[in-house]
Amino acid sequence: MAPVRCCVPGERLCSTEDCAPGYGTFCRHGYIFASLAGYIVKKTDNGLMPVISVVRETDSHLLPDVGSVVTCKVTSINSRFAKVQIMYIGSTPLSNTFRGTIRKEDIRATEKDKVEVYKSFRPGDIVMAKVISLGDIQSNYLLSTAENELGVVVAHSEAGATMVPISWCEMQCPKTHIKEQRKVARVQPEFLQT
Amino acid sequence: MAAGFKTVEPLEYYRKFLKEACRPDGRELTEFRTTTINVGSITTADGSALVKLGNCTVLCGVKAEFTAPPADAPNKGYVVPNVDLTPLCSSQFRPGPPGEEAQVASQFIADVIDNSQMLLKEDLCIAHGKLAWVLYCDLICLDYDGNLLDTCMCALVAALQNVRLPSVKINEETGLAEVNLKTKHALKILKHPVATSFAVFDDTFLLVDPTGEEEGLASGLLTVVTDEDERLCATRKPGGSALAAEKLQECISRAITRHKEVTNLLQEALASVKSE
Amino acid sequence: MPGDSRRIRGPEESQSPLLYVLSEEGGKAAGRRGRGPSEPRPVFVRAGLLSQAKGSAYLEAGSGGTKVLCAVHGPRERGMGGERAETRGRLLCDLRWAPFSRRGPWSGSCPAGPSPRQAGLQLQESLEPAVRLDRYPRAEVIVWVLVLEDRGSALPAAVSCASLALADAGIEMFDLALGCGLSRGPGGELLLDPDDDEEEAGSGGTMSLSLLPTLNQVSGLISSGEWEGESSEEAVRLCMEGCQRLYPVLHQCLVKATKRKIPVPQPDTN
Repeated sequence: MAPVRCCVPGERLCSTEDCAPGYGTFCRHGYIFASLAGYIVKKTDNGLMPVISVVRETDSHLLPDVGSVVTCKVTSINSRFAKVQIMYIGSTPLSNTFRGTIRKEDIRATEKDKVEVYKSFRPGDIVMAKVISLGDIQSNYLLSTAENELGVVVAHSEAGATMVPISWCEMQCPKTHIKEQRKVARVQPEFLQT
Repeated sequence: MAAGFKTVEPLEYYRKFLKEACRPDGRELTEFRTTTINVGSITTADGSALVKLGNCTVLCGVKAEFTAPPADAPNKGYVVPNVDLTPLCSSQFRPGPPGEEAQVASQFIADVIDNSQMLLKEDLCIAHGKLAWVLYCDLICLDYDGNLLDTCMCALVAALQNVRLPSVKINEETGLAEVNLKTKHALKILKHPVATSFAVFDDTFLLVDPTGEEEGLASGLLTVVTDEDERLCATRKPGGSALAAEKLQECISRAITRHKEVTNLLQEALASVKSE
Repeated sequence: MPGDSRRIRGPEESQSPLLYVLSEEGGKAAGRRGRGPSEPRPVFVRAGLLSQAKGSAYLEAGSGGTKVLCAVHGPRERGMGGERAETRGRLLCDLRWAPFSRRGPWSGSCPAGPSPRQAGLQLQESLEPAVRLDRYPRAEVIVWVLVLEDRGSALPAAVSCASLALADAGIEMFDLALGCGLSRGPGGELLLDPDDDEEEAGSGGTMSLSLLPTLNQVSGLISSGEWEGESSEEAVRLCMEGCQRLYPVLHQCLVKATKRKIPVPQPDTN
């Protein structure tokens, strides 16, 4: 195989007749140009025109998008919502965190009127959530944990120990055996490891 | 997923390494990062030095100007060190006037200059009560990755040794200064203080030359400044966890060996400029 | 800065010793140091050298010449003070001079050159056409440039350096932006990439141009002094040529930095 070529923004890659523009490219005057510094990758899917894109693996500038699952840390709570910092999108860590909000009515899917924010999250908890809206000018990203797989994944008790989930709404401290209430996520077995 | 563990539980991540007496970057607990010193690269300054400790980079430029000596000490000049932490070196800093950390660092450096007697301010006086040198030492952090004080101290000492001042005569008739750029002389540097910083983890582990990450997680910090006669010039321990006396003694002896390492590096850097 | 308790204070006033230099030795450094009038200084560039920034670059023009360092942060959540909900991202630029970066007096209290705000804005205007801000809604990208040593043509150097750092940060761009300066000497001759002596002597007028090299479009043009039709056309042409000569150097540097930073993708993944 030929070595993968490297390109810089503004480099002309090919004509739009030869390829379709993919990620990290733009079209102008019938040609495809690179808009990123990275490696040129051509991919042909089922006989259609090959897609040319520029790959830059390390940390592609992900911004949270509607539907993506994010991992975040709870920074503060009040009676109506919990504020969080988004730290991961999927399994990609973000270098700059974004702020998000989980409203009370988005915490769980059923019995929405009985939800209490403080019985679901505490500041410092690590929570998996789904982005449901980018928000408007005033508000930040709106997140939801209304799915079995979403909710608190790591939490610390008042004694400072990492708590163990015992049901979908309770966690227990291994030191003091005190139970605390949380909206616990049913963590997928493939994510469980030491 | 190791990266994930690190982001979510950074302290636990470090503890696992410390149990094995090593650090995530592969160093031993008493090991400094690679130190490089580059002297005299800024030709618009009267003296300059670029010092790197691993990633942490500080550029020191010294500009010498004329001024009137202070009224309360007519036989002295000024040394004005200022540490600048711009948003360029880390996104945690904001533009505008110096923040808390920069102010603390500036004051610390100023205190070390006074306490260590590294240079006599009397030597900066040109004409008693009339004219003196003021040395503006600007320490600009270019890449902020922990252990700012050690890097700054090293850059300052290297830059001051690189300073060449033009010779000055006072014209008897006019009373004005006459500067001759052709003959220049170096400053008289009497002492070479070197700073050595430690991070304290869980009250027991001492990590020398902490990175930015380690500083953020440590329960306490400690900086020891010594000179070539193995005397202490300054120690700084801003709050944090308490430290036993023997631990402190350990730090001081490490600082003394560090002084020898830095002195060698400094001499090499200065010699390379002279030979050019 | 008198009254500023946040810095270590020096004397109220001080003067540069250069003011008292005996006038007999007027022999300044000889002219262009052997350069032709339309010959830019050789350039040394490096990208991706700072650990804390998303992207960074260093540019040095000529040996013992202008030195510029640039760091790029972002794209990150837009800070306060946004005017409207825009679908485009925002590019913020800041261009500063180190207090010891000029040969004249120390400039800690009153920064030399154009005010930081003005310089930053000039830089921003030159870079903006090159950046695909539509790709970063609700976010901002911040460019910090520090001139470590100013031996002439600092703004054009800052433009080239900043666009290199942006590309190194993986920001999507239409093209790199390259800068080139020019000044008209006392005799009316056009000097490309002037050093600080020539900038000082070039009272006739100065020009600073930035170019998107592959698209061959001018993204910024700042000129001062009086320019007449033909000479200004000639000046623009010279500047554009100067930028094009810079392109291979930056291109090579960026490819090198990218290869260092990013592993080669495996053809089978995805």
